[in-house]
Amino acid sequence: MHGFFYEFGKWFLDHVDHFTSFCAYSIRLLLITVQRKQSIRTGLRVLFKQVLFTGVDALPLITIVALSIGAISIFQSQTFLPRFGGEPFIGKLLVIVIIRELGPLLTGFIVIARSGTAITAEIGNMVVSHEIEALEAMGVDPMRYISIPRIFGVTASLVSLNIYFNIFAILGGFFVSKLLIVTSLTAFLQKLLSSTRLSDIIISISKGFIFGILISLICTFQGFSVKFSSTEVPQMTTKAVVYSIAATFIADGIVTFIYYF
Amino acid sequence: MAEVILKLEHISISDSDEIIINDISMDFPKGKLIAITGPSGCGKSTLLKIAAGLVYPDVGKVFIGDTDIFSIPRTSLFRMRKDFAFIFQDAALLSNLTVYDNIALPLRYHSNFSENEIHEKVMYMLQKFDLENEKQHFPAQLSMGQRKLVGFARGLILEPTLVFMDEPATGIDAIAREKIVNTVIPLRDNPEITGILVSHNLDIIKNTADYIALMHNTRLFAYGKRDEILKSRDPIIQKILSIIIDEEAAVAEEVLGILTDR
Repeated sequence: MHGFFYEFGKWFLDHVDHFTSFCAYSIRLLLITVQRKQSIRTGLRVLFKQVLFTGVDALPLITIVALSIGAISIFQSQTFLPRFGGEPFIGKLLVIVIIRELGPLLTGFIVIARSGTAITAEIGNMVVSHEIEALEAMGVDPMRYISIPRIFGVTASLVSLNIYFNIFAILGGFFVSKLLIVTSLTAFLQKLLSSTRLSDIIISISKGFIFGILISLICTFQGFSVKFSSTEVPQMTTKAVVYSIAATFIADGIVTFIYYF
Repeated sequence: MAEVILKLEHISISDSDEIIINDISMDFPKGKLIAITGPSGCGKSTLLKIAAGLVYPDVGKVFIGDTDIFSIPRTSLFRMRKDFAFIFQDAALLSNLTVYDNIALPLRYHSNFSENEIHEKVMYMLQKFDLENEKQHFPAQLSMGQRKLVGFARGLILEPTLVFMDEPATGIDAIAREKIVNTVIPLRDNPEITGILVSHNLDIIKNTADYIALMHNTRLFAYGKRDEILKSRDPIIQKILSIIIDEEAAVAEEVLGILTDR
């Protein structure tokens, strides 16, 4: 019994320590961001590469997923909702399911899988090979040079990908509608727009923004948590994925809760 | 001794129960090249990193000029470091940047030079270290000797006043070693530059150092002018120097063995 309490206590304290370190890291990054910049040249190069990798390179995958999700959502709702007299709500359902929920969430997951893992692994390997120490020795702040451009890059990419996802999901939905019931794009969009409110779009973009910040903060922090050995890199990468997914769901719940109450 | 630029006061550090450095105090005179040497595992590389503010000691203070570098904010320490160069044992180049971008990084980060001016300065360094053909290569495509030369070029491009060198001539071929010695000697001869060199290669130390700090078993055993230490009749100093020579010979034999096996 003593052993159980010891292990549980150690586990609990380790997690509290990890969380407080994460909060301190986030606050320090915020302070660095608002401070006067020394030189943004190097940061801009990293930011550009990050947007290219997280945003532009993800477009083919996002296109496939968005078209499929849009098509599936419309197909399922067209098949089942009319049986229960719910046909008038198809447009609203598409807006709630895709624009408010699935768009930001799925885009977030794709960014976690593609870029979050890459960021953690890259920073972890830089720690092991003394590259972070070399940056510090040159007077280059790793948080300014590595973290901030990645946080801006991932967040901007996620917001843009989310908008792109919504557009392609709607297109996917339109193609299926065209097959099931003969409808024009104008009629489809009119129906969709009449069901869409400005708040739906604001919520979708806000979620993309919040998820982007959370994912990039967690993944960069986990990368810097690697200490000595290359075997820590995959462990930290796995943790980055788990924590990012958990944080994304929690943030999604909080934003949705705030909207309805 | 000349004006002191760097001062270590009662530095101690341990890892778990193992003591790495035990109560070392030293003054580093401005414009001189000080070699820290000692048998493997005596803590000389850790001492160098503490002196550069890269590792925090458990006890003790490090002063650069009048500034206690561990009591100032992190951002101030980063600003101070643009006047330092640290040459790592394994070069520690950024693996995702080319040789050119590695050398240009400190300039792009710290200076307001235009890209044309940066290009001029980087090309000068590439020529100086005979690396022009490698400028678009990534660190993984270079030999260890070339990586160390890139490390020197990157470190020296901001014209530092304090240069820390961790085993700069270890694990490299004779040509690269000669280039490095030829780089270190002008640093020693420049009165504005203070060099701190960690090495257990006594040939390099004989050729370059003004002062020698001899470490043994986590402590500073002797510190003085090069010839005072190398020609000392103290039996313990002679014993420590012979251990260093034996270790160097063993490494050379090991390298030769690997080459012969090939």
